[in-house]
Amino acid sequence: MAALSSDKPQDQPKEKTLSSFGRFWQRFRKQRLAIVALLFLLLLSFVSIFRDQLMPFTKDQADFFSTFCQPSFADNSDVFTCQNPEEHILGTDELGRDAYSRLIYGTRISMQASLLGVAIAMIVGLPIGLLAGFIGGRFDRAVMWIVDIIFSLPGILIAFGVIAVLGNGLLNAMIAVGIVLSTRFSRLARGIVLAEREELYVDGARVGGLPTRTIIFKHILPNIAPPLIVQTSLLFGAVILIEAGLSFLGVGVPVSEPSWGRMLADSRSLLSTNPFLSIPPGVAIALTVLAWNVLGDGLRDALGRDITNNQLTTVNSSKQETTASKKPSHIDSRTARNAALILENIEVRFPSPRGEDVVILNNVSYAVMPGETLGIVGESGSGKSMSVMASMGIIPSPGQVSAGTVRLGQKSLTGMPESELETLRGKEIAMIFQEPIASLNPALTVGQQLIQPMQKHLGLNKTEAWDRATDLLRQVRIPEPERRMDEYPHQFSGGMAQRVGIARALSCNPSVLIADEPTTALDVTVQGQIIDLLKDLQKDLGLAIVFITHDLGVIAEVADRIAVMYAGEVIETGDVHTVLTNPRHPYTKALLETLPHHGVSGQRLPVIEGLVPPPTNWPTGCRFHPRCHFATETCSNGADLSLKPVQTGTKLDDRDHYSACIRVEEIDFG
Amino acid sequence: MIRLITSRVLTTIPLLFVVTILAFTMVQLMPGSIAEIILDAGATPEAIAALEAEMGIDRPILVQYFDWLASALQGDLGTSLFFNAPVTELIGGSWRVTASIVLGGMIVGVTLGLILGIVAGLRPGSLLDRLSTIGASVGVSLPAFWLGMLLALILGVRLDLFPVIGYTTFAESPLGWLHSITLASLALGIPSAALIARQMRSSMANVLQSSYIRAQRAMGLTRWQIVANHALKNAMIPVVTVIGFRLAVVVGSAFIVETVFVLPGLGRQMATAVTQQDLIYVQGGVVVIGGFIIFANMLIDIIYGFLNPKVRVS
Ligand code: SF4
Repeated sequence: MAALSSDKPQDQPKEKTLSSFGRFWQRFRKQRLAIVALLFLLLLSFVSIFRDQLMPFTKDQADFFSTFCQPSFADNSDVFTCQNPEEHILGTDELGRDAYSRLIYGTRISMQASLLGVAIAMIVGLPIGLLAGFIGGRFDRAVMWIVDIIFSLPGILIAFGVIAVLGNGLLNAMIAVGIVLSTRFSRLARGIVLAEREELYVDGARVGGLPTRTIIFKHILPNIAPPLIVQTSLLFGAVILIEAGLSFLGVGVPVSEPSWGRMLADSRSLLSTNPFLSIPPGVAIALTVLAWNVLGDGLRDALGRDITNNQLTTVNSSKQETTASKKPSHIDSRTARNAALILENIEVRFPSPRGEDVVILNNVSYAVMPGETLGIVGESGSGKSMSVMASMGIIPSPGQVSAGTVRLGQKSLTGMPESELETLRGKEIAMIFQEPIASLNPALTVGQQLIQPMQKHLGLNKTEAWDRATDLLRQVRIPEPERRMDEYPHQFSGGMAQRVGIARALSCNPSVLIADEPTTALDVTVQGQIIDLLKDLQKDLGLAIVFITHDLGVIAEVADRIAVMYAGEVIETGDVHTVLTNPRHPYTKALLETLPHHGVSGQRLPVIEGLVPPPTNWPTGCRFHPRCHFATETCSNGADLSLKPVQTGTKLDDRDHYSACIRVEEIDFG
Repeated sequence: MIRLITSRVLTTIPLLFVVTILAFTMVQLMPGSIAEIILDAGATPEAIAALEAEMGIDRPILVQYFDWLASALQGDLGTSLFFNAPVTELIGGSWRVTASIVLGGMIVGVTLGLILGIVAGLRPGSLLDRLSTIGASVGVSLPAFWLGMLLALILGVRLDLFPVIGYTTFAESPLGWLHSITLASLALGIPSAALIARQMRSSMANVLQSSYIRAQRAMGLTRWQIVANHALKNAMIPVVTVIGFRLAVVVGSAFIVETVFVLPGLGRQMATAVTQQDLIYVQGGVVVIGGFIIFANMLIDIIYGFLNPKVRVS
């Protein structure tokens, strides 16, 4: 138990389930369809409980004066066999039996059957899956092998087998269905147990000497509950479908019992004489299954994640707004004219679910000159990656650059149509990423994915592109490039994959390279190699590089100039040496203090006390004030927080050192 | 690739064994013996024992199993108790009907499902996406046999476009064959399409969130280049598995849909055999259909490996 509590101190089980249930309920309540489905299912339960009171006729009561009746709302005048159409809301069959009464009768059969089937499936399936997952090893493999075979066979086939042995009858049919569907519970339970076993705390619990039973009931069942609920809901639907199918065939429920499936089978022969009879039972089945499915989906959505954004959709920045921002940035006009890439007063917004926009980036400006490296530092959440995505126009929707300008050389990118942007991306400005392997398509060989952009941007044919790609791999010092071209990303180490990423980025001779934490995921020696490679390539090609990192050690090594970002703003910028030795913003100073003495490269930034606030909750005034040791009243009152030049030395390149701190003159940065 | 195929073929063989064991055990599990069923209730114990000895079912179970397996491998699945004919012959006469509508249903389901799923997945949250998501939820909930009845009612009885009853063999008239299986194929295909569309949608939407898609976009590839060359293949990987599972469901539904269109297929024979407790036929049916499914799954596995280099290489 000691191991448990020390591993996850805040993880108090009771509170956790309560609050997660609360969150679940908040999200579930918004799923209107799921609520409707739930109500419908409650109605069905009501109908099946009070069946006998609700049926106007008994199931077999024949009204020989009213055979072949259409439903009472239809015209029955030419159906001479139908004397009392108004008594039969949904019409009658060839014996004059009331379709509405029989439909109600069938409701209980369906509900009973599905309850029974799901219960049996759960009783059979869950323990098998739990045991297999928990015992593991050979037992697990053998059991799951059999489970998978049964799972892969058609359910009806197995049901046929079971019923052939046990004989007809609802219970037998549902035993059959239960066995068929139990495999789903087994697979689910086992999957979750395996996942939970990975979690440290089960190991911790085991070390603590808790009996297996306690672990299953206290640790695994609570985690299995959400997917189990979803699966159960979906299974109810599946059971109803199978039961209906079996009754339709006359297998399972006795032919004399009007279940919905049976009613459909009976109506089959009357399809041309009284077609309406086939509608209500079918609708009943479909609606019930739909209700269970919708409920299941609603539960899943309330418990799962959102997929409504993707990397392909972007909202184009609107011209009208971007031209509106004419306020000057700190960047001087000479730099602005010659910059390879320049961002001025960029603002990025995301619409929030509550309707108000969330401003992710506020007034961000920076520039990088040809042949120069600009380092951008900040903790995660500071907006550094967002700023480079803005510069490439690939902010995932529904986010949007809502103000400011991006210029690449002489071309303004803001407001440029997507089709034109596509001709620049990759060709003029290219990017390498933090997760080198994930940024390569796992389904294609390295060669296959390297050649495409070259074919597009450089107009090379396939062989030319292939040869150039091989050369590029050699240039980024990948051994045996010819062989590596035919390999898949998962066959590459992180470092080698990042070299591929660099080769891809440089393949169309861009003038600007954006490196988004390119070494963070790599180990220290590989980090050094990648940085050396980038520096050499920069020297050879005259690249402008924007290098994002949270590692000040790396920054000191690669950057010429630096921009420090905090909470969506640039708060200090200048020559890298000046800023790192003479910081003029308390945040930069705090960052530097977290570094070990002598600034050993490769150290991650230890976190400054407190966290970067989320964009929905940015403090007023200086956004750093809640964490700043020098904060005064004025800091939180929204004074002028734009970047202001600071004088730190007498050297010429100190002239573009800027800080956003309003107390920069008063604080002793020592 | 060849290594993948051999390994899949090798792992399939034990699966086939399991199916034969399941089918064989099924008959053993029945209360009483086959001889009792054949001889009716009034038979003397001596008569039953004599028939048992004649049929060889008084021998040890393993001997019986291997004996049965040996004949099964030679194409002899015994004589049906109810139809009174060799099971192999019966199945030989009916499997083409079932296979035709299963094939038709899968073609409808996969084509329609993939198209809808891709379109919806490209723009999650759009109107088209929402419409097809609703369509998919409804489609998944429709019992194939009821859908068959509705199609029969509208396209058959009312509009008289397709025959509502009966089967024309391909040899008789290819067009007539197509005609006779169209409604059944649609009935099987539409719910499958709905399911496949749902999977394809979420798979596509997931793939489009991945960082290699962003990387390709940063290289200036157009939306369509990215979808066609990068997203599609990856998005297909999980969907192939779903299509595999769906095949089993379609085979099962086909058994029922046959009844709707009065097609003389395997399912109708099976259903009759089950209600008549004709265990010999059911046993044969389980072996043949189970074997088919396992074989089909093997093909699906190979396709999966073809799409997913992580399975293939290494
Ligand atoms: S403005 Fe105030 S709160 Fe912000 S960094 Fe400067 S001293 Fe700290």
